[in-house]
Amino acid sequence: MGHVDDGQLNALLDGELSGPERQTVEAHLAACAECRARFEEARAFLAQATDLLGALDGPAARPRSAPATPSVAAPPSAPRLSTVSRTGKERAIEPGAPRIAATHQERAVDVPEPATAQSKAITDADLTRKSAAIRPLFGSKRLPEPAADTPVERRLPSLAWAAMLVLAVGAGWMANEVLHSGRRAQVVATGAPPQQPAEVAANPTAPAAGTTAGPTSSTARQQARPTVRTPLIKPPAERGDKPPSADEAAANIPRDRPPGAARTEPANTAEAGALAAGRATQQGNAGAGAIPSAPTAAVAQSPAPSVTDATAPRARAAQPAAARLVAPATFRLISMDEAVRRQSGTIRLIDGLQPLRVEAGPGSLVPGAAPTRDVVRIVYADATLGALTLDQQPAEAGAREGASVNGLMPGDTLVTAQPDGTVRVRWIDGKGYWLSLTGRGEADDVRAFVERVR
Amino acid sequence: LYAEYHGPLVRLLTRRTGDPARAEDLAQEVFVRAMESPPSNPRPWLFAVALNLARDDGRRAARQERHLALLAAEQSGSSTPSPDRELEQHERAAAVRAALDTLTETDRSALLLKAEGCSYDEIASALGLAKGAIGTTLARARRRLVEAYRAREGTGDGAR
Repeated sequence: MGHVDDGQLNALLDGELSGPERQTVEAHLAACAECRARFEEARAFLAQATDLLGALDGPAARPRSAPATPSVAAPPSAPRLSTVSRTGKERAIEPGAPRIAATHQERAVDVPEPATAQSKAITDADLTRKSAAIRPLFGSKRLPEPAADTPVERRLPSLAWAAMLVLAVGAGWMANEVLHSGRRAQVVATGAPPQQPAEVAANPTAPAAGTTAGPTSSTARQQARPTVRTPLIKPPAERGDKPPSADEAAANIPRDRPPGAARTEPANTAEAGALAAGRATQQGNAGAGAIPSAPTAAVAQSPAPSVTDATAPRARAAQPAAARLVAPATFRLISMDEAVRRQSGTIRLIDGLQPLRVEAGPGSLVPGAAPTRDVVRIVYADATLGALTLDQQPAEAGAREGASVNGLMPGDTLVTAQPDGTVRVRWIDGKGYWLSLTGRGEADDVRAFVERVR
Repeated sequence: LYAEYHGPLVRLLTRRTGDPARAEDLAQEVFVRAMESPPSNPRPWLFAVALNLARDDGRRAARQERHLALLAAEQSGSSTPSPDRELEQHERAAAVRAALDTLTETDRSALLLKAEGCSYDEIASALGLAKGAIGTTLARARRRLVEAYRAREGTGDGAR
């Protein structure tokens, strides 16, 4: 075929080419260096244009255009990942050359970079090239996805929101006590109950402020409802006038997520906001990520009273689970950022090759993969082997080091010739990541790429 | 309909007009029109009407628009704790907006629609183009936006 035009390249980047078209274009890209260069250029333009459009939203709306990868959560994870990978254990059990283990360290640290790079202005051509290379493969695809992160400036309004709720709850209880103290005095001594609001306001992180309110406070709440709680009941009614925000929250439009979250779980948001450390918000928002069932994740997480560094991994761990609920029966295009997130913060790439596209799909579609978990697939084009497919699954949360993963033991390299003439190499790496590389060619040729996966 | 599209429409219109308040007004207008004549394929329809409204409105008040955007920028800038960063972001947004303004209406619309997650089919439907032309349109629009922005960075804001 002749050279691929810019329209086709962009259609490929946007995931708009049909199967046969895509194969034709990819085959050509694999063979034509000139078009590959133009493809890279088109990808850089796409990434930069996406980034620039995101800047139009202004600071208050920035997260919308930020990558779906929680940039607040990712940076803290980077040091942790590097710490883990530096234990050196993987060196011993890495099936490939020691080189892989050595460079894992760099890769593990490098990968989260896209998340942070995204928020920077593109003023430097080098930075642009670099970030475009590993990051928004399909930048424009990512835009409609909700951003999971919440920069500081976005947190402020939600903190204010939460603080308002806390104040309102406190005021409501106070007023309730005033109104009901006379009535209740006939039965109970009035001394204890009035302490409730003060307690809640002063110690909003205590479970009493959450949904798991103690018996006393729930009783108080029930008594309060008919009268003094009116102002508290009213906000939901007011919000009821604006059903869009509620549904938007469900539809993952980040703009209204903070109010949406407050609506679903007012007490929890209040609680999170009152923590003032901002980390709680981060936690909630990290959970309320790109996946439609995210509100559930956020709710599930928010009752946790202690906010520690462990929240970030938990948020990430919740997402693949949520993703499975909506996973399509085929592979679909995702951004590199999303792929990194699905891989729990680190991703395996073939050194020296530019990914053509990144996809995710159920493991049931890939021989040897755990069928119940998602596979992240990165497709490359190599000049000699043509399309190379790198599939990967992160280790199970509770997986032990040295244990088998999908039937493979550390150090095993399983090479199979596929009926379609491709060669598939499967192995697990030092951190228990299950990997599969498929390419057309001699087994040794494919295996040579295994050593470049890091 | 409102629930599903209000957020995306306001975002699209904010990007298009640079004025969140006006974007909100225009989005309301879009929904009013949608109620008057419910579209069969709402997504491209809503976006197309929104972009048309924004264009007409922009012609009428091109000057006022800049003034409003400036005001909005100043207001939000003064209320935040990090004015420097805010200022930088506003400057960048202004530069992007200026770059976006150099594009043709079609290129600009295609870019904004794509950014809202529209498929090529939907963009084609909203803009009255052939689907096969969308890739080329987007390729050109992306390139021009980036180049216009870079040119601007290289001259007006070169100091940064």
